[in-house]
Amino acid sequence: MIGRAGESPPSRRPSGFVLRFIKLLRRALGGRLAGVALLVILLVVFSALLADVISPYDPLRQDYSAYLRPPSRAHPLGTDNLGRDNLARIIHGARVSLAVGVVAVGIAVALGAMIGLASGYWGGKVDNVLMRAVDAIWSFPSLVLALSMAAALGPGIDKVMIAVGVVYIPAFARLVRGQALSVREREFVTAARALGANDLRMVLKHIWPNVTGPLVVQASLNVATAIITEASLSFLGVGVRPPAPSWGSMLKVGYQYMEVAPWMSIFPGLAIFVTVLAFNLAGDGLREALDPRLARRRQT
Amino acid sequence: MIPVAFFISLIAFGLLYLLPGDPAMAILGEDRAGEKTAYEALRAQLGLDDAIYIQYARWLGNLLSGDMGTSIRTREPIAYMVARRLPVTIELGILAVLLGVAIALPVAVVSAVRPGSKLDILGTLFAMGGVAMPSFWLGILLIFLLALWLRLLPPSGYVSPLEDLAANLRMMIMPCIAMGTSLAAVTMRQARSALLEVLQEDYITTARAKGLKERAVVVRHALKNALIPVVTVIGLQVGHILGGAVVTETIFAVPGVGRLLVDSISFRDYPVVQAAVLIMALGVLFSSLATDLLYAYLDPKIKYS
Repeated sequence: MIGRAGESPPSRRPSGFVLRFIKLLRRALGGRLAGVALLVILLVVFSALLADVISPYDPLRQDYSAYLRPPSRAHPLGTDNLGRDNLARIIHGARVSLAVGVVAVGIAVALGAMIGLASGYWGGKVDNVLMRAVDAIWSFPSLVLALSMAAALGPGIDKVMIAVGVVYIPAFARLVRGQALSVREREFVTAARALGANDLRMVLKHIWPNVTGPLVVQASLNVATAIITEASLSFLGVGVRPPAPSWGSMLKVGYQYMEVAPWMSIFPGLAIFVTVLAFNLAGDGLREALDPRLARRRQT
Repeated sequence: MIPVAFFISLIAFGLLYLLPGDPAMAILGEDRAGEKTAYEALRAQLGLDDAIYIQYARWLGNLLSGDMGTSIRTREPIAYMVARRLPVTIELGILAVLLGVAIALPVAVVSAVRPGSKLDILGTLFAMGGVAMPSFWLGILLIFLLALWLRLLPPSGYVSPLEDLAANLRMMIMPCIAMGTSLAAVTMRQARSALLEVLQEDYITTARAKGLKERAVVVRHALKNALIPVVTVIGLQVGHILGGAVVTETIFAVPGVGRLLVDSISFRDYPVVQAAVLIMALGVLFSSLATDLLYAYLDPKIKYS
């Protein structure tokens, strides 16, 4: 059935899209691992949101009578070299990791999707120039480019978000371009074009809704890598500056006290590992829900 | 490839212009930025008074003739600094890839031959964990376990293989594990799924029907064909390996290009930063070209016109 120009196919109406997304989420969480992963993500999100309420201590409060203390009832994850509570700093550090992960991926999705849509929809010279630029960014090792950009932009969490965001633009630009290339050949797009829909309407109403599924999967997987990149930047000293708590900067300090206080390195690293694992598993769950053949192939 | 290399050079050149103020101010630092004479002299020395496209053309021209400029900190030619450190990073990268493949392939074979078994579940857990594990955290844990606690290996440092090969390999063990684990995890996932697919092909059934031993079927017939996509994955991991080298070389005090980059950032030696970033990006670009060519060589069905 061919619809009128400007009229989206029924399955792409907003309510249909929301329902489809909820259905997809339910299918993704059907797997036990993806369900556990979502619980972990929710735990990290709530820790970040309610950090001031649930944190046992002020993350910046220094107690020189209790420095380098091993885990105990008073300090379940021990204290650092300045007597600050590790648990409080890990809870507050979740804010930095999540904020950088989500905002950086948001920047990458917004810019990457615009580039990918323009490239895939118009093709030709536009595609050639945009994709060569994207390939060039893609050629830089992500941490190397993020590190140099963050160092050049200067200190501050906003600069880290921009540096990490730019690095992940190619992943989304390539994905959206590929989807746009395949969608633009479909009948309903040809029909809408024949009936006089303009470029903007074509892209926003007909092509964009069809690329959002894979984009959500890619975004959830990229939040995980963005968290690792932010932690690496903080570890190398160009991310979030002390005394603000971030998992990477906690590891940087902990590394210097490894022999006398291993808990300073173990717990922040564990926080990164568990959070990244959860985002990866959730992303895998979503991907399998979108493509059930993948799930079957994995099981065989 | 040439247009991509052109864009890479533009990005590397542009990095210097992201600095707040201008490169001369950044190099002089806050304390001396107010000294007008020093500032103007440095601007003239760096050629910052010229139009930006002239600066770019000069930089690119010098680069193509092998002149990467001079380090602000050490006054050494940058090409010499990079050339001295590049072999160290290449050695670390090659050893990490070898270790990653040596772990990934046996685990993938065991997993794919008995899908759903306990060994397969263990292998899959290893792959999940390996991908999520930050290499710098793994490096720190290795130092704690193998160097500080068990005292089996030196915690950090580097000896050239030309001086003492045994000492070099001992010092490379921990950096290679730290870098190779995530590579092993990614390769294992790819190899397992490729093997699962190949094991369902008709020619595998034929090989089994001919009475070949299972080992010969898996190693000679299945693994050989499953390796083709694995090669691509390894080729595409070069960027990841170079990124990993930055943190791994910093933790283990290995004097490679990654460490040079971090040190140059700390000392605001931006020409060196520019050169190190450019070399790494070009390394990734050439390795993806090499992967494409290798792919065509391994799979006769693929021909590039």
